[in-house]
Amino acid sequence: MPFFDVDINAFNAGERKTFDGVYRYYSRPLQHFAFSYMHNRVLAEEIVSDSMLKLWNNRQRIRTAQQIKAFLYIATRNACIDSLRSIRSLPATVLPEEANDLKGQDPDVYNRIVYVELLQQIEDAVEGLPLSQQAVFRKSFLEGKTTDEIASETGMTESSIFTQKSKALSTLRKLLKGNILLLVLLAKLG
Amino acid sequence: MERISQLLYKYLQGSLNEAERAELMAWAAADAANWELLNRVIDEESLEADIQRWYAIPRRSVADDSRLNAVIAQHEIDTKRQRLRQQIRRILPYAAAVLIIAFAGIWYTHERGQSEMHEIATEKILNGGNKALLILADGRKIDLSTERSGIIVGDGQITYEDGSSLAVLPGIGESVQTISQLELSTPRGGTYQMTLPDGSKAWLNAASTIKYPSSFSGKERIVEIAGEVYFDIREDSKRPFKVLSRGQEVEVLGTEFNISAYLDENETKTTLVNGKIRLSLAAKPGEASLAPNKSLILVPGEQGALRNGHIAKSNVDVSQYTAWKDGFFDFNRLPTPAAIAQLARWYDLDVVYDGKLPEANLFAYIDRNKPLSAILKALEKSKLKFKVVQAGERKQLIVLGEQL
Repeated sequence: MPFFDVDINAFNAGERKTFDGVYRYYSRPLQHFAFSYMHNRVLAEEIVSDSMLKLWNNRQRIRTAQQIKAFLYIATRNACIDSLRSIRSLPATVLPEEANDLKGQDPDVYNRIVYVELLQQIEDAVEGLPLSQQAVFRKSFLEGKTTDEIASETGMTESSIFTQKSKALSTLRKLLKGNILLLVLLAKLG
Repeated sequence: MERISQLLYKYLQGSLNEAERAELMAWAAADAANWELLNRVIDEESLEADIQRWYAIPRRSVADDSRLNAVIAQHEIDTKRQRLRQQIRRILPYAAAVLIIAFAGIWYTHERGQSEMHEIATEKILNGGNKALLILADGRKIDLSTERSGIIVGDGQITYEDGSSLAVLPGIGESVQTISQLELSTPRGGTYQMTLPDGSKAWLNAASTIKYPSSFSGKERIVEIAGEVYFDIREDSKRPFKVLSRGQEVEVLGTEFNISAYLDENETKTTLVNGKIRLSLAAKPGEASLAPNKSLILVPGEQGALRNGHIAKSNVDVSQYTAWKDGFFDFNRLPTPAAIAQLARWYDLDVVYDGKLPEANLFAYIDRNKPLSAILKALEKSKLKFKVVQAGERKQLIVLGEQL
């Protein structure tokens, strides 16, 4: 699926559920995308919030789900550039927010999008794990916690944490087989 | 997802096929920025850092974005209002129609109520007058002139009092007279006078009928009446004059008398002014003659009242029973309902009693040729109150009874 699927009629009509779905789907990649420009979490969050509000205000101009994605990335990119320019006086390269597709964008912009989408896919892979494995994965890998710490936080025994880790890793191994990252992970958890 | 993202992911998975690998490499070679990105993905440390940064970003929904949440909430309120407005707009024509019908209904019933029951100024209710319908034997009906007060029947034709011809009767000039039965009747509020073929006179009060022959032949002169008729009979000892009315027969030689035989009154009153009459119960079919014990003789000043097949005789103040003929209401200790009945016939009103009538009888002597207001004013002296309302096509006299 090249983009998050949306019921355009409901989106145009401003249905909360539909818009919330868009918000939930795009807020994290957009924020990461904005962060890649701003290197500031608070600013990135503000910019994404502005982009979402802009999307809401322009919701009736949207014709396809792909336009939603394009609008959000371009609006966020423009906001980031504007914000950076006001900080560092960058050259103004305002892009039209009406674009349907992102392929025609500057490779620098496009690649940032490609990158956050890669991260999105990794997240999706983790989301596919059973919940207990996910928890162990998050705590050990993302939060860098030790087996002892996880055991005291979750009340799980060290042996069951170890089991969950092994299962999570074997699933991830399938997902990311042959990847150096996995080797790093295995080394850390092992 | 962009195509390149998917290829990069597959690269991490190690699941790229040859074509996909070639596609990814072509993309990477196309631009320095692309090459840079690929290297970034390959560099596990930066990817790991980015994955951790990624997870550090909280998942957010609209509910977490207070500003957008407020905007959407406002939009929802507006939408709801707009939907309500649209619904109202959709329903409006029907609602309007319902309202119009309802108001029309209210208006109609109100107006009807008004037209049924609105009070009428009694000054506008005019007295009765010369009105009558002459019905010939062949069924022809002639509305008699209101300008004239009487007709004369005789010599094969009917004329007004002044001699102007009204109708030619069949059988004129023939030796063997063809006798046709004629009828004269007055409506409510009407009165008329006629001269019978023998010269006798009859005055019809309101709502009265007399049936008579175009000429009197044979041993008796017979007429039949309903309502109230005053007779002044031409004396003819050889041909007694008989008046038939509901349940009774009056036989006269030569006299003046009044018969009040309204069907809506339970008494038939025969009041003798002059001469002598014999009042008998009507012969029942099959009875050869009247039973002598069921007849009585009236002398002037006497009144025979027939009620439920019995005749009672009493002395009365004659004038109050005959005053109508001279154009007056003469109420002298007359029970109120009897007086009101006379008014009702003359002014063509329906009567409704509302409240207790005074015990006392009425006293009044009033010109009949005046509007109702004059009569009611006179009667109000007898502790009666009246109201006249329009009830549909009819006018209603409401007798409010004693006002304490």
